[in-house]
Amino acid sequence: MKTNNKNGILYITPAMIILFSFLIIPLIYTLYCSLFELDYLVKGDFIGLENYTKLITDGKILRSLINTIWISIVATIISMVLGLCLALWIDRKKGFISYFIQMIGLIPWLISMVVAGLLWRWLFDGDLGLFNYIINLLGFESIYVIQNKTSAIVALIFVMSWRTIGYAMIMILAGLKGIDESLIEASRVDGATAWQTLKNIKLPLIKTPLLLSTIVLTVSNFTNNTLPKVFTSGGPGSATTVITLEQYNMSFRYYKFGESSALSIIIMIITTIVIALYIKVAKYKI
Amino acid sequence: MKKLMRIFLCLVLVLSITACGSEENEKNNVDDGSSSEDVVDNSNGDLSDEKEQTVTMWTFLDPDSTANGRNIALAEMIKTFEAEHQGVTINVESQDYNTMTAKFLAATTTGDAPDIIWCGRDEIPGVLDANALEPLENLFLDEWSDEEVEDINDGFFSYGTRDDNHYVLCLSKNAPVLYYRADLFEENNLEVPKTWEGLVEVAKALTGNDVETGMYRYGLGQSFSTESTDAQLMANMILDSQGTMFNEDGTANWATKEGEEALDWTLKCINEWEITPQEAVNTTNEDLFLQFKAGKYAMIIGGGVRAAAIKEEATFDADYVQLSVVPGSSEGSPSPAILDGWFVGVWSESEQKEMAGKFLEHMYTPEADELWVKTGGQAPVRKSTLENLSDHINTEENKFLAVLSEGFATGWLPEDDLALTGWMYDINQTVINVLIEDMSMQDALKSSESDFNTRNSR
Repeated sequence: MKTNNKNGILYITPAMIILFSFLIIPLIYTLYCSLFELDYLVKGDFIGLENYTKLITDGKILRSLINTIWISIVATIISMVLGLCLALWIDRKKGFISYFIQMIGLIPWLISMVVAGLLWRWLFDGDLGLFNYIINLLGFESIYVIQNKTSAIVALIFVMSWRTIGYAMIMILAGLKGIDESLIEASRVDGATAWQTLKNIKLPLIKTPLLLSTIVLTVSNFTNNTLPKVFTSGGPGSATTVITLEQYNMSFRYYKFGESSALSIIIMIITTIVIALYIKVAKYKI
Repeated sequence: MKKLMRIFLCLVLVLSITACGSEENEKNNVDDGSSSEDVVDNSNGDLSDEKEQTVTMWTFLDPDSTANGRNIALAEMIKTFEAEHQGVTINVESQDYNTMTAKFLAATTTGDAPDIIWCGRDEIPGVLDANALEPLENLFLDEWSDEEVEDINDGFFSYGTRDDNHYVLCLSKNAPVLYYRADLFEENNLEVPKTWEGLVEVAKALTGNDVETGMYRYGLGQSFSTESTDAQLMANMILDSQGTMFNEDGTANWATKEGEEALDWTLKCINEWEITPQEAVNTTNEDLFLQFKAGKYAMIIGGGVRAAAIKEEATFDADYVQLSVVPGSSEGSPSPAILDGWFVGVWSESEQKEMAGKFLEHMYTPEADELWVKTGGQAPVRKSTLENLSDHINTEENKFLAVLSEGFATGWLPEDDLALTGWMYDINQTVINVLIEDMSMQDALKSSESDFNTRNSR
């Protein structure tokens, strides 16, 4: 037994060293930096929690945080619902069609977010974009999607969902494929409708992939700064400015590294809480 | 079959690891060479007396690319420098210009910074405060004669000076200028505008459906996205009427009568005269260039340093892309160009300081300057080059270089003793504050002033 324990420790040591070096040490260092004035990385005075209080009382940061929360939630819900529908549909298909849809569905998740962001930005361009070209062909007036506050948010949610539907679909499909066929057959024999089978058999059995996908997508959307930066540039105004874009600007545009470190810690705490809440709600045992 | 497959996969794995390993070893050998004091064996098998050194430079340019003239010019300079200094390798690591300086500052704290760094104008005060750059007097400037210094002595040269020491040289002078379509001006018998009123009249005349493409064309393209990195006309107007953008203590000075007039004019371009589209609120300067090349605008405001690339990529005849200095309040006195550019310095803790200094100096020689102008399509940094290449610069094809040089001569650079982080974004934000956030003009200006002052701790 003791030998087994020793072996176990030996096996996990490399992983732990990597984890400690690339996760724990930077985290502690970020925490340390967040307690200092650190403009242009010039170490200033120790200011305790001042960076945190500054951020928490900053209206713009709070607005960005609220933007981020609800954009992430809505985009995740759309991705999960559509991903589930597609997975259920593909689950019934076999052969080339099934592979083809899976491949197509995964492309947005696989391609670079910068490429995707630019692609959609050009497609939605007010005068030169394909979107308005089609709209005009149909006889309607051009819609300046990225230039209007409301439509820019809707468009950002759309693009974020577009990016993640394929991932949700594949994860859920993997769960569906793992369900014992005899259970489905038994439910049919017992006269269960398709809805009852889904509700009482399939969904409970794919709870794990559903939960994991939801966690991954929520965190991915919450911490995604590439798409908002490239697609809408956080605008118009600050309509689509998400919290990670604020963090990016603080570091790379304004060189306020103390504040951006504090914001990083805040973002980490929020994502940790989100994950903990999901696990609690889903009663998922680790 | 399974066994065979296993053996095959194992072989592939071993070969892959071996291949990666040898590549890594080669890489390591090069890297090790950067600090090696060993004598290098040259291609003839003779021993060279120069030490093997690798000087690393971070820039947004990519000498491996032939996409634009500046890349080619840099590649040529590296080639000649390496030929002159056997055993020295110039290793260019291309970076995203938005994040380059921040990464450099982070790298200075871990001792991994490049030997040579390119920084934007507004980043220089902060970088100097961080003591990240070596005085160029220690490297080569002290050896320059008075004539040599005089040849480059202008506002750009004085920028980034502390205690009479120069820390940077500007290698890529820039200023936002007026790009215009000469063909449209000819077709409509229009003169290039010299005043703000003239600009509006011309822009109105050029706004409408393009006869050839059917595309709706706007007279004046501007970009007010807070991602836009070029100063827009509003900044020129404030500068023109106030003479400065900041108070002596470094606080913003925009919520003034002049600031309000400039903002009002800008808003009228969009709402009243309709010469600038509504979508300007979320247009970046990159969008603006792209759309200008596609024919959406007759005139735009943009960094003049991009002119050669814009000409290359325009969907219409390149000769029709012309530049003019930004108009002013009266004819004959254009508003001061807001000078910008890329300033290059040597990392103060570099182990290759001396060689890095030599390469920086090499990029600034009269020969290199000619290369930047002729191949790179940049305006000259030396007065002598401006004279020597007057025939080249005054051709129809290259007269944009003369326009840029004219702008540089009368331009304005912000003070460099205090960091003025983000002021251009804040000026743009005033337009957004009114159009998107429904603020009054005065509130919009005050809000932007406050953002700037708070961020810069003033």
